Amino acid sequence: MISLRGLTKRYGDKTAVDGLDLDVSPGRVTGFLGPNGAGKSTTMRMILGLDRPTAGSALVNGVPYAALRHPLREVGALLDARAVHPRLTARTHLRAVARSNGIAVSRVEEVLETVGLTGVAGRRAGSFSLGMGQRLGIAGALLGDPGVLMFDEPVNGLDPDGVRWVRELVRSLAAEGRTVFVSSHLMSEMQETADQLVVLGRGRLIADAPIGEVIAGSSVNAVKVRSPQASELGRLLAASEARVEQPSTDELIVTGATIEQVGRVAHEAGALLYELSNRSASLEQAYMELTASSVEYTTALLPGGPAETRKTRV
Amino acid sequence: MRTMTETMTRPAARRSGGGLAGALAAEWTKLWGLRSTWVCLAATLLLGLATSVLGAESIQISGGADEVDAHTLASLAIMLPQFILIALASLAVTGEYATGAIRTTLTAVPRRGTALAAKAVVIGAVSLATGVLTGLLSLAATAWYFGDSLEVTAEGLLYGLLGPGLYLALLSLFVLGLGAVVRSTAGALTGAIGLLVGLPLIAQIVGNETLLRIVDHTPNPQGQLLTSGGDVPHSPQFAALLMAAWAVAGLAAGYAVLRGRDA
Ligand SMILES: Nc1ncnc2c1ncn2[C@@H]1O[C@H](COP(=O)(O)OP(=O)(O)O)[C@@H](O)[C@H]1O
Ligand SMILES: [Mg+2]
Repeated sequence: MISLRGLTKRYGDKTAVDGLDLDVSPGRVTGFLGPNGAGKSTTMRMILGLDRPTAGSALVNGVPYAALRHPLREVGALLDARAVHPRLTARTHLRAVARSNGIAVSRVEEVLETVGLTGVAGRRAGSFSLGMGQRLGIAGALLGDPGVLMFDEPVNGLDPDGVRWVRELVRSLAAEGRTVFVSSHLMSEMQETADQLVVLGRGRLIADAPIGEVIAGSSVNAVKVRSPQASELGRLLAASEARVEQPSTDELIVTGATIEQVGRVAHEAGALLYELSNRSASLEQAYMELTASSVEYTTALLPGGPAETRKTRV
Repeated sequence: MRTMTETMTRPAARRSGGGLAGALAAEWTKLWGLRSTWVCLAATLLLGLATSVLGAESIQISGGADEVDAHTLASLAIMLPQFILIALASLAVTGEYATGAIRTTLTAVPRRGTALAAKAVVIGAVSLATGVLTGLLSLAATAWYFGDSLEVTAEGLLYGLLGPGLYLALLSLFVLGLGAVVRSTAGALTGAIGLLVGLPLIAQIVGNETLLRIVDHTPNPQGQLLTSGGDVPHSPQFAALLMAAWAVAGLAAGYAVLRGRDA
């Protein structure tokens, strides 16, 4: 369980995290989503007590991270940047970390096995590829068998196999009842992993909802109609409240009307239908929409609009 | 690759452990896991021995002496090794900032005081031991060259063995703290070498009384006093006190920055 209350971080006059209120619950994967520079890593660093909040608090299992006697047995974290001495072997690095928290050194071999690094455990961490480095970071996070796990952009640098492996790992950790908090700037990654979505834009909380709700709440949800009388039907629908697009001669995309309403209009007009279907927004679209509005909102307030907007592009 | 459920359900953690003892074990593991540590310490001992041998040769060439104290060459023996040991001490902190490993260290041991104390104990102990060993090598070289006229006293052994150990340990602790303040190897070493060599040199060139008085209290002269047992400009006891003050000041400053600034 992670609880953030009014969590704020300013670097000089730049506000990286802005009054974040959030509870991350156990037993599900919470996706922490936002464009680059949204403040995800900063939030995670504050949870770990690495950065000091300008205001507000971050509690893990009800206490500040620094108050935990064996922090790694309660929280395991993979940070976005590599945090391993490159001239230590993977095994020595993990042994040092284990000893610091009174974790049995035999556990090192277990997590090496889990992340698939047993064969290269005697090599220096500096010789690892980005993907192997991520696996080593994940091994470190799992070392203390913690109930809370935080992964900052865990699939960065991983090949498709690795991406799938992380996805399964994250899901199995949540299935075991752990609190799993995973950040990404890519919505596509979250679509198949997260149960709950926390969307951050410009340091502010934009959304905190089950993933289904985020999709359902998107205005991109539409009704698709295929009919030889598409044009006529389009005029009738447009006369009501609905917004209508006609991508091709026999196809309509209707927003602002339910599938039942569209069906009734078609029936009353005696139109022949080849297809009447709900087209739900992809998470990607919902996300673009969410963050786009946050960008519009902030660029209206801040000077140097266009350059800033480019930075927040996904 | 095994599945998570297989490995995660096993009880992994012992009940106790962690805290300062855990932090100490971690620092110890990291220090000896780096080849640079072995290289630095071997170089320290080698240089200590080599300078002692050179010193002995030069005494012999200039006609030798009727009586040679066991610790005669100890002051000479620490001159070069001290620069290697301050690099080792600095790297224990600044090396972690340079590589990002400090975030792992502080995530594992979030209490800044405990994290710094663990580094200080490990570096202090290793420097102390290396200093005593350097003194021992210097003593062996002295005995080898002047076996017949060697004079061994308890006081001589104290200055010859404990002197180098104490001086190098306290100097290392000062530099460790300095490293935690500046967070850069180049910065810490520039500062330390400036204090050890630069300032005394400038003071001598300028000849300013106040500056010379200040230099009398910097680490380098204390090293000479602690290893030779001389009493100009002050006693070895006072020199030890001054070195302890440098170490405490460095560590206190390092602790303040570690607490106050983001990692
Ligand atoms: N140490 C720092 N000093 C100054 N600015 C920082 C620092 N860390 C992060 N920032 C700024 O804070 C904002 C949030 O960064 P970050 O948390 O890394 O975002 P994310 O992880 O979502 O990409 C960015 O604009 C970044 O430039
Ligand atoms: Mg980031």
